[in-house]
Amino acid sequence: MAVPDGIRIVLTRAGDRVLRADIGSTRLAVADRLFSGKAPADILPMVALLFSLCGTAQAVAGLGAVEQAASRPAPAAHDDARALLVLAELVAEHGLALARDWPILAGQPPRLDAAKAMRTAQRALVAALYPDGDWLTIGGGRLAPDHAALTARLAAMRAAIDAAVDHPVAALATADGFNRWLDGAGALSLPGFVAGHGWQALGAVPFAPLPADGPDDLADRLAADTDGHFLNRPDWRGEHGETGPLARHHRHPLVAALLATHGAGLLTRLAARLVAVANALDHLDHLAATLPPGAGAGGGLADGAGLATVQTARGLLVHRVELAGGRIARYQILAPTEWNFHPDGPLAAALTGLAVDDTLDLRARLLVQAFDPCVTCTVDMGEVHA
Amino acid sequence: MCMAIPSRVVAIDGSIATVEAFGQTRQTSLLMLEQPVAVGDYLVLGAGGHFAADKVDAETAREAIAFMAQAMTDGQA
Repeated sequence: MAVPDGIRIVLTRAGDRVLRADIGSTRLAVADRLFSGKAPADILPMVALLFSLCGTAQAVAGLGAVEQAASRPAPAAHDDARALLVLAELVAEHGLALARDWPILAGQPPRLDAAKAMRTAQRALVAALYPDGDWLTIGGGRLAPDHAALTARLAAMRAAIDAAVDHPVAALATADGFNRWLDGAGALSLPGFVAGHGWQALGAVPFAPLPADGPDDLADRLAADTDGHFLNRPDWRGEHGETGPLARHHRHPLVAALLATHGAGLLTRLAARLVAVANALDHLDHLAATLPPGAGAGGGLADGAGLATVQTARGLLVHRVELAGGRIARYQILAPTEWNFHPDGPLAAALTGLAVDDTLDLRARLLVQAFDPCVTCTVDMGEVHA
Repeated sequence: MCMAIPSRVVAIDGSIATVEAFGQTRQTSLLMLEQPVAVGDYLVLGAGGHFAADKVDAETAREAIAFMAQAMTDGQA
């Protein structure tokens, strides 16, 4: 029994251009099969484990959807605690790219020590918030922030990010700072590599960001999606919007300046990820300093439907749950990759029309990395048309 | 969908492990892990599978695998 979990991209070439990029997926929308009929409290730890690439965001989205469906909201302090955990995971996911994947693509040795230090600090955050380990409790566990430990662990994460880019990341989130870095320590980084090859505008496509909280008809579209088509190939009013760091931060001054100069191309996308990290680290410091303690909310579980959205490193993650008789009656997960790697979506558009030469494979892989799939993704060269 | 099924380590050669899940084997780097890894341990792989992301205790891993197997069996019925 094989578990399908990948994306395969095949580039069809004609003359000196990529004629078509076919994005095929062997992923399964399995959440409903996995969780239907089970008790909500039993499935949340499994959500965190089975979707562990962004397991915190998945679990927080699941908690939020279940709590809304059950009419049992957690006290507000838990919203901040969960936001802190999700943001820290966002930083760690981008940080893995900065420390490990970006150097490899740029022909440099990966910064595995920085990547490991970041992961270690991030994983220790739950214990500094929920000392009993009950953060997945519906209605909230016992929240008792250890502010000193939180501050220390977030400082370790920031130090690891700074080490990965050879510069304080906060100083990169301005046009001057970014450009100085590209000319200096960043010249060997992936953005420097891209700029050095003149690939700043590579894959620039018409930019169609999704709203930050998702399409306004999301709940209705998911409720009506009985055959799973929307989950696998989502659209917003018939269009194929994108989600992720660029969609989230396109109004940031640095990102807006790069959009104006290079369009929604490769360098703009990489810079948006740096901005996402810098913003998240600042927000994390604020949350860690102000987070109050709080008990959970007791009570039973009503029947109903609930939807929760979370911003992950890769973009908008949506969980929708229906409860009946205290059990999961329906469970839907819409992941950001479904938007960005949609067969007619922004990555397909970015790959279509690329020049065919001996760097095509590398340029295609750079674009895939910029869109940041949450699963294995291969790029193959398909037919050559006359 | 970013599934991360725990994979069992069937062989180790230096910093590279061969892991198995649902009959499929693949190789993955152990360089990102803090903990020591032995044959028989269970790992969760990161995106792309090139690096192991985490070590999972055997009981949790078997529970997750059984959970997944049941869902896939139900889906094929």
